[in-house]
Amino acid sequence: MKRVAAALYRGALRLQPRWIREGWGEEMLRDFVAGLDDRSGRVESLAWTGRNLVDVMRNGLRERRRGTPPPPGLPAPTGGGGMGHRDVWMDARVAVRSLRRTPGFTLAAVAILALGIGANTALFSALRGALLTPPPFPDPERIVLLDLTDSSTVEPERSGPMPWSYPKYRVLAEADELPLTARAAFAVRNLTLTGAGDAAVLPVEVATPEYLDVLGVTPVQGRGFAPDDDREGAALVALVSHGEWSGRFGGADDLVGRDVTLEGRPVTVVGILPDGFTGLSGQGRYWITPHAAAQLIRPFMVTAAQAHWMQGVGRMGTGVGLETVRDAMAGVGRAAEAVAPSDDPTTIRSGTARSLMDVRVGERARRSLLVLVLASGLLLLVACANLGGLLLARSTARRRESAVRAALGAGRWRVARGHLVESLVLALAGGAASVGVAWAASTWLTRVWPSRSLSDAWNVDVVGLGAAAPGLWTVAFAAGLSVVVGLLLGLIPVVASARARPADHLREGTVGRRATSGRGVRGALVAGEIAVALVLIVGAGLLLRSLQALNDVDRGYTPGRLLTFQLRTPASSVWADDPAAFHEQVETRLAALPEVQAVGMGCVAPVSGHCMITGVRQAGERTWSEGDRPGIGVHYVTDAWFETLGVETLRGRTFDSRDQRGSAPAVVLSEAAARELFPDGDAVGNRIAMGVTLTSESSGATAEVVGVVGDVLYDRPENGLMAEAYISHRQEDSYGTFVIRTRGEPLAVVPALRAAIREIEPDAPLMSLRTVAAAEASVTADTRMVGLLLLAFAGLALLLACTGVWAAVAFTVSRRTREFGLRLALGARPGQVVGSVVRGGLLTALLGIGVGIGAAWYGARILDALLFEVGVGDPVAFAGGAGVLLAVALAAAWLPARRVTRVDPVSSLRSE
Amino acid sequence: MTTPDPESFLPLTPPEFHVLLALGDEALHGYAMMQSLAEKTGGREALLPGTLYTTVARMVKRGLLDELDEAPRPDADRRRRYYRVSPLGRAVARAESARLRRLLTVAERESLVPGEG
Repeated sequence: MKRVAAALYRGALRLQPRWIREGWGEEMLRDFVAGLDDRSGRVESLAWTGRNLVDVMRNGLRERRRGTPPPPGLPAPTGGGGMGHRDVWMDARVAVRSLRRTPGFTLAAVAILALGIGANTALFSALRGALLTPPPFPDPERIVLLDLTDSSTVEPERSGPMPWSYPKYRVLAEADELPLTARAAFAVRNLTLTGAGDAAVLPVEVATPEYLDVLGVTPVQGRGFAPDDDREGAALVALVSHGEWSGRFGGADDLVGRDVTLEGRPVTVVGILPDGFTGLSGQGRYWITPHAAAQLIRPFMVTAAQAHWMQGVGRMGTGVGLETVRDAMAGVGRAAEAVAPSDDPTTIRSGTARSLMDVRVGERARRSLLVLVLASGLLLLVACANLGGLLLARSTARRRESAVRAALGAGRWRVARGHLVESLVLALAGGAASVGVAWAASTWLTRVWPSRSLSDAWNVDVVGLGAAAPGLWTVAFAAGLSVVVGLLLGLIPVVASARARPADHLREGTVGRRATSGRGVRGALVAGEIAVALVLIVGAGLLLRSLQALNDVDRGYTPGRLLTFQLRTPASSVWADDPAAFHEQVETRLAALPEVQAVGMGCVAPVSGHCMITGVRQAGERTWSEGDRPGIGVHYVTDAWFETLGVETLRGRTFDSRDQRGSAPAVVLSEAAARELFPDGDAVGNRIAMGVTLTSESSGATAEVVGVVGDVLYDRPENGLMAEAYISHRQEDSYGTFVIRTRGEPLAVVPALRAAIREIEPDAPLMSLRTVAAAEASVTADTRMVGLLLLAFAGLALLLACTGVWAAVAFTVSRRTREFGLRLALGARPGQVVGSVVRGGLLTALLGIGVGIGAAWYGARILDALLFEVGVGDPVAFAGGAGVLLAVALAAAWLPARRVTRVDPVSSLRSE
Repeated sequence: MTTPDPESFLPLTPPEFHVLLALGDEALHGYAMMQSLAEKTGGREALLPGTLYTTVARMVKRGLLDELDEAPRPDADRRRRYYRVSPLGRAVARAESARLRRLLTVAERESLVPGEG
């Protein structure tokens, strides 16, 4: 028995560090055995052995952790020295235990952090997806958009890049002076695919043969386009996306070489493109050449020099700067324009180049994203300040504990480490929960902010917020942010207690004076919260006022129950040669539906643009020289257009059977146009001439003004009302945008609509079907989204700031109960005491509001580009924000202050 | 070699303080220290060999204890190693006692000491 125990003890000694084992091991063993000899009886001996085994092992491990002590004369290690991971681990366990004792606090803190960190993670991921992630092509910085430019001497502000027509693109394709290794042009068209499952209308990129070379992409199967594929009479060939191949065609081995049916015609698949490739439009499923498009859609696509429908793109050679390309493009643009000069002499056409990296996200979207990222950062700041206050209160409540630990020799670092570890544990818990929040927020963001509204460039849609989907990167960002937040939070109580000496706290409880240390820090935190909350509130206020102003712009048409869609006649249709007859037929058939009140057709729905914009050359006796011509929007519409939109006829008439192809051209002016062109009010009966020929058969002749109608907003609301001229679709065919006023719920008539159209032409797909209200909403969608998100952030910040005020006042009340009891006992009226407490809270709030107004004044400039008819210093937003904040802060201070009146003087004096 | 500040050794761990208390002015070997402590504290405090020697080892290393070269008395067990509190150890023991007294004063004021208030 004794030998076994000694052997065990000897084994356990191995756990001792060598220097102790070798110096004192024998002594330990001898004394253990001596102790064992002193024990009589089995039980006692066993107990002695057990205790000693535990003792020697535990001490051994502890000594190993502490390391060899320094020789005498060097400073001794202090109790809290070092930061071994075991110590931190222990601190973490202590923190978790202590947080579990206060589940309310912990849950609230984790929720606040999850929201704050989650919002930041989602928005930063979105920013990263849109701005930092390069387009998915090799060397994307060398890809340039090649544009024709269109500037108008009439309205210089409306000038900008425009697409190419195929004949003009040929000039670009053959311009040797361009330092490009490849160049191409592309556009997206929706084509009908049949013969492979259900018929589907799919986005097809029409692209010239070098398109894949420009993007640096090679097919994974088969080949790309060859120059001969884009020639008159070439066989119809197509490239297929990886997704279509693996999905619709089940990854069939023999897809290359097979035919697919597009627009009812067999097209041979010659290649399959790499996984994930969707072209510059971000939506391509099939690719065909322009000559194939001419056969499948409309022949004029490759012949009409004035049909501008393709975006030019190129890849710069190595060492070529954008400036060089831009300079060369000016000449190319002019040469291309010479192919078919615009018949509007107010138009100046040239060419330019833009870097894909620059245009993939428009300025407005860029600015909006930046604003949201900043706002979420501010929200997190408020959340941190708020939690910092709570942690401070917590640490104050536990100050005696800290002080005792300090007095017992725990170093300042050791005590601070406890705070840091606790806040880190909180922040990491919040960070973990935030991944869920970030995921939900990203999903929502991608939905409300479709990637097509990110870029200003026509048809270029290569970035999305889709990269915001949570991945390793998101988790890493959330984790990193959590650590930063945790350290920040942990430092607050440390800073607050830095000046306090332990003895003060130990004395405090007995002497009974008020809380001092940490009070200044807490006040500053609350004031800071209020200031930041005010910045967010003012920002949200400015955007919402702006949104209000946008909504208040007079639309000029009667809203509600309006549906719009586009109709295209396929090239294979019997109607292909006479789309006007087709449109008329459709209009008649739809008007006969019992659910439909009125049907009209034009080029574009309200708030969606114009058929074109030109300058007025002559109106009555007045003429304008080139450069001075007033701008006017032109619309080709059916007779029922005005009735459908609910636009009033103010003078004269609108179109009827008198206006026929070949008859004298007639024009209806909008009120704004009539007022501007005929200030004397004699528009009707007078004649007008525009910069372009208004109808194909009037060869630039003047047209008679036959009527004046009310103004309609065709542009984005921020561009305001414009002068408009209408021409009957019978004199010049329109593009087939229908607007329907329904008797009931607009979307309920869609099935009847489709059935009616199918009877006329089974292969004419309905496109861009939506209510006019939805079209309107989409125009202000970004302002509304940014405004609402800011409002949500502001609301949260307000809530947090108020709980900050509430907690600070409540804390004061509880700490000073004895003093208040004394004052009440000495005859102070409860109102006076409450007042003094509320004043304290209010003072903090006012300080915060003052700082916040200054910060908002400065910070609102970043919103300038997003605002409409609202100045960055809008007094309503500022005063409103400050007022709301002040009122809420007052309430937040008053609620806890009321408790003072319930203080029983006697018990409060006894309380300490 | 400079003389270390006794305060820099504070606070002592309970075993360290126990060793100082057990030794007092005497020179004892380990087993005697265990008995001495039990005796002086009426058996309320105890040191097991594992704790005792790791503590002694550390205190020797830090200069709080001196190990004697030979047995302190002719009749002593010559196979044993004997220890004595060094002058530094004595200063540290005094500093620690003062520190505990201050804490005790606080505890008294807080009515935490039994038999009072």
